[in-house]
Amino acid sequence: MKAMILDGSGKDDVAMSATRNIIEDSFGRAGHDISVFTLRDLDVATCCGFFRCWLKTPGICVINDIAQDIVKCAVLSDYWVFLTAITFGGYSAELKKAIDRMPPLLLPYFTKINGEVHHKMRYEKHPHLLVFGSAQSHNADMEDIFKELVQRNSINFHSKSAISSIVLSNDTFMTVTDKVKEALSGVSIKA
Amino acid sequence: MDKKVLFLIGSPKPKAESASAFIENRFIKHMRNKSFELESINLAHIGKSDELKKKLLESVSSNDVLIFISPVYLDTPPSSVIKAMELIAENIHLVNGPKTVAAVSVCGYPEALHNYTSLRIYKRFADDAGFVWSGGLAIGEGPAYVYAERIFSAIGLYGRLDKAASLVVHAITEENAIPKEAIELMEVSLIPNRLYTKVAILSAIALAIKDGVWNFSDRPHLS
Repeated sequence: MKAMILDGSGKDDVAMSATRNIIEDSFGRAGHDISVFTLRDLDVATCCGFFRCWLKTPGICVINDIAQDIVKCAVLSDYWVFLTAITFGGYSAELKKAIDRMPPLLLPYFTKINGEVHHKMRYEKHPHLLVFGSAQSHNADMEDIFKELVQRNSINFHSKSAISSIVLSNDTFMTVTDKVKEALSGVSIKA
Repeated sequence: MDKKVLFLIGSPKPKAESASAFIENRFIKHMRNKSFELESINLAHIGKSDELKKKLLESVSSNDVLIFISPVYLDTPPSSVIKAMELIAENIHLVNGPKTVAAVSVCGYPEALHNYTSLRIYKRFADDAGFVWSGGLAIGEGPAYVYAERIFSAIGLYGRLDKAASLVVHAITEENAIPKEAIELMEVSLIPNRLYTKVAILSAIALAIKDGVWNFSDRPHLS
């Protein structure tokens, strides 16, 4: 099986760096192929919002950059792992830039999920979605928004499962390990 | 003294094709001839140059009220809007005076509920930056505001948006929170969901055919 990691964290985010190492190690030991995109080192253009990836070149973004590789990798991956600093409860602009380029994975056609209108997926793929966020300290509202966002994303991406986990900048390595372990156990990966 | 209002527009599209720009114009209509000084910045390219970042911070600093009007991309504001919020929060020491923040979030789905997480993010931004959160409007059926303007205007479907905009403008003038009435007005769909999705698909098919695309269900990454 294959896992895609979109690392939208900052270079000085020690907790997220530890999180990423544990995740890479765990997926590697479980025998999965891993593709990692360290977004801060990549030049991902912002989405131009015209839906040409639906209407002009179906399934392919008209902007020719690394985001096309990300979309291709997403199609082939069974696990999508997002890493981000939690920004106002949501994802960092760095991670969001890559996610905003994912509409080629969707179709313009609609379907109903839990009574709500959503887009159909272009591919018959139902990845596991795991999102790890880092924060300076606890904040109940911020944490609730983050969990809600991952849940909402999982509906739009037709994910098989959705797991969110928050690490704090002052967490010890053991605490980070325990949190990642718990999250990965939700998709039967041993950390 | 005039209240200074800064519109922060999140849509990367040109004005003629942007629901955000359409809604901004509706707000401006209610603000003209009143005691407002208005400024507008499109955030689409904010991450690209230091000059734009500087301009954003100066404009935030010199205005009293910030009104975000933006589409939702996969449950949150577009990356450029998040980038702008990150910049403001990181440079809060450069921002003078108290600010009030309001947001209008627009999605392409028929239901307004797809905007709720985005609105929570705008509120969290306001709270984190130490600004006053005035409230937000969630609007569904975004493309209908652009592509069906003439039809909808003719049959009076935009009356609701005008009423909500007028309530928001009044709330801003009085330094009150956006009233529930305005929020509820915009939560109601313009047209039935089933009709909206059918029209959306037919419009998409027509646009695709114009470009010579007959099958937009291709799966290029499997071949």
